[in-house]
Amino acid sequence: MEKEGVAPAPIVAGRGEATAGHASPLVLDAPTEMLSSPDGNLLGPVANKLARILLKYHKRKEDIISLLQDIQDEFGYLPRDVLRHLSKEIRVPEHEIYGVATFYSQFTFNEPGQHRLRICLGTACHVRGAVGVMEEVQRGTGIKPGQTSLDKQFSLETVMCVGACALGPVVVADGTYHGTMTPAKARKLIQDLREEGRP
Amino acid sequence: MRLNSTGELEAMRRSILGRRDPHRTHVTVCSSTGCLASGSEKVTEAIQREVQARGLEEEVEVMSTGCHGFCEHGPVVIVRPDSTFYHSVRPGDAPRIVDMLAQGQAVEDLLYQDPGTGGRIKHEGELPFYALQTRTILGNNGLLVPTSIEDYIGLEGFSAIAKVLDSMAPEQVIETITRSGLRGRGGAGFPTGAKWETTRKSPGETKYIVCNGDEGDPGAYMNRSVLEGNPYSVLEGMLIGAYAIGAREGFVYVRAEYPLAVRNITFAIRRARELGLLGRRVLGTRFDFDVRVVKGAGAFVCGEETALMASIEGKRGMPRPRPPYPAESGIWGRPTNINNVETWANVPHIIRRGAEWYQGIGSASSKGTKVFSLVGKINNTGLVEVPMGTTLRTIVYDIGGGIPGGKTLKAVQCGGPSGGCIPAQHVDVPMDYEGLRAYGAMMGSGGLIVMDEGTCMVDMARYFLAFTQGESCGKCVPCRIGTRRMLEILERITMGKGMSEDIASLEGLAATIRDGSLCGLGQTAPNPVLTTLRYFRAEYDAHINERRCPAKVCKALFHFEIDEVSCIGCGACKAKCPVGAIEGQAKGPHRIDQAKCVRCGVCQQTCPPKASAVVRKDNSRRETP
Repeated sequence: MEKEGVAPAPIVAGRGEATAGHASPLVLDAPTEMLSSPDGNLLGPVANKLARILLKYHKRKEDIISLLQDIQDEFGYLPRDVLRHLSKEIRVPEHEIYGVATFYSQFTFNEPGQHRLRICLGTACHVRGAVGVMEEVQRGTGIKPGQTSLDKQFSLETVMCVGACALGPVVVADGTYHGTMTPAKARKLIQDLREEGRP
Repeated sequence: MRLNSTGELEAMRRSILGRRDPHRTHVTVCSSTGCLASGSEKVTEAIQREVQARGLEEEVEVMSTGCHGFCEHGPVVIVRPDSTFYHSVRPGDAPRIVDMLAQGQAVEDLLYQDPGTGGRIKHEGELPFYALQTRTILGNNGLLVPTSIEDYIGLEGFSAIAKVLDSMAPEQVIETITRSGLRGRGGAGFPTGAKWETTRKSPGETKYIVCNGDEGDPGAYMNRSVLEGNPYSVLEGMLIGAYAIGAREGFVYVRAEYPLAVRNITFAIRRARELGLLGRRVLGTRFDFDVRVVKGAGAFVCGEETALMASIEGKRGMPRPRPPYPAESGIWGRPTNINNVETWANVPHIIRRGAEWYQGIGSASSKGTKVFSLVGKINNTGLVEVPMGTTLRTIVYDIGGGIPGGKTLKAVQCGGPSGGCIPAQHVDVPMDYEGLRAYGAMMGSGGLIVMDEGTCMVDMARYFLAFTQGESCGKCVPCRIGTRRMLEILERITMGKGMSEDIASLEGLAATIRDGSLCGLGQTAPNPVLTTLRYFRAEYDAHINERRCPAKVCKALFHFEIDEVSCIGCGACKAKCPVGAIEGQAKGPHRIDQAKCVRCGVCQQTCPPKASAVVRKDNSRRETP
């Protein structure tokens, strides 16, 4: 089902930037992945993934950040159902887990798209025109930072410096660094990624 | 294999050096994040292929090394031992490079061309970029494979910790560091020896040391470069510190945004453990010390030491009041000593060569070298290591090669969001802790953002405030709400809606935030605004009184026009305009529909240089309500 208008911001309030993007009609507003059965238990494979992650740690409170990082590496985001089970396993209340998870900008509660775009807005990139690049990416994908497109093709994040300042402005697409970006190159990059996804 | 004594370490070093043929050719390819992004992995593969194809594996070794610092012109390839320096190398250049190796000659067109004389420069050390640097911390980056402990040992590695374990008491180590004059490289410049001594003297059996690699300052990447390129040097510094302080456990806190740094330091720790250089009974002595890596999760405030400790404990990274200082009560209430990556990397050099040697480098109050990351509107973007007290002019013009495009220098932002800008007229400032403070800036971690006449200072102030406002942890009200109010005012000014009382409001808020915040983030957050107000007041006035952005950066205050006389009607801009705002027939003059234009500037970038018909014009001259 297609949605009209901009979806409400995900739980990561304040992370998305209200920058002049044009119409963004197709935004994913909540994860759609099924991870639990109706009785509230994690599905087998999901439970196994979580168990494997937990094995690496002593289930101490101090490991929360590392646990969340591993969960995000595994699932691409922090799924609610998994965090609920994590809370039981490490005996830390859910609200405390969310307190930590929402503090750090690395964590996202939204399913990532097939192509993850990270735009560096560090100072070096900024003075060389990163804002124009970001606006073009927003135009091209129809989403804002912190969002995933409804077709799950793209998700967009901003980063404060990836440390590749000599190449600014930098866009990291699926882990590959694209340097000296311009709005025109950004447009081409999005077109290429879009076509890559097609059979 | 485990090394059970310092003697066994020396034996291993002799055996490593013994197996080395000093005349063997090494082709080193920079493989740090910057050069990897420019495609250095493919260059390495191509050179390896060519070497194999010619059966030269015996004579030539291809190495993937750490950052050489000359990031603007990556990938960088250096052929040793004669240190022939190639830059901007593409995989297609590999056959020629390897051909010339065999003949003992260089590929002329890959050599650096002196922008002044136009002549080619062959050797690394002769490049103006390197000739004026003193590369103590970064120097070995280009000589070793970052993860190879053998390479590090071959370059005197771990000889400092061996010297300490063989012949120095902890107090002597601290005394040497104190006498050397080493000060913290994280920004504040606190004397390292004094910090160590306080932690050593704090009561308690369990003590921790931390390597702060949460390099959150946007535009600074020297810590990434050291952790990626020479991780063992950081571990050796930590070993010496732990011995001096009496700590048995250490943490390396690295940003998760630096995946290669995380990988290399993690590997280095494992390898050092295997050899008995970390863990129980280091080098067979009674000294135990182990390290683990903690990945940051993206919070600038975690560079502040009490916030960093909260983060290591698995909590929200919020600072707390000091005292008690970490040296008295740190991680889990234990005495904790935190130093920056670069500080730790200095330590082995001081122990090896002595405090007197170190005192001989730098200025009266600031000793040693400092790594600066030189970025922004500068010809030679990269990492620059110079003795403290070197002038900003030397760094920008002699090493950095000046401003691109024949433009003029406007200012240099030093110290990131906590620092301030140094205007062009003060470019002779000596770069040390006190010199910078005199101009309202600070050393910070050493990020230098160069700005030219095309940079709007009000927009820069807005940028930094937006950053600190977003990164404020929210604990102190003046910082949480005050930075937001300042940002709103700055946004209003850049939108052309500034009011005459705005500057007084900014100054008032700045004073409150500075005085009413617990940690460095809040205390220094107003600095970019205060220094731009101090040196560039006229730009604020132009925005507020004339609704004009002199640099033509603030989008609400300028527009693009196509000069009908210069326009050659090529249609390039029309084809590239993302919003279809450009009209015009082939060969005829084009024009921009201002109602559709989003000021992205693509038209100006695509307009052929010979025409340069797209120009930025002030809005005030055009009649708008």
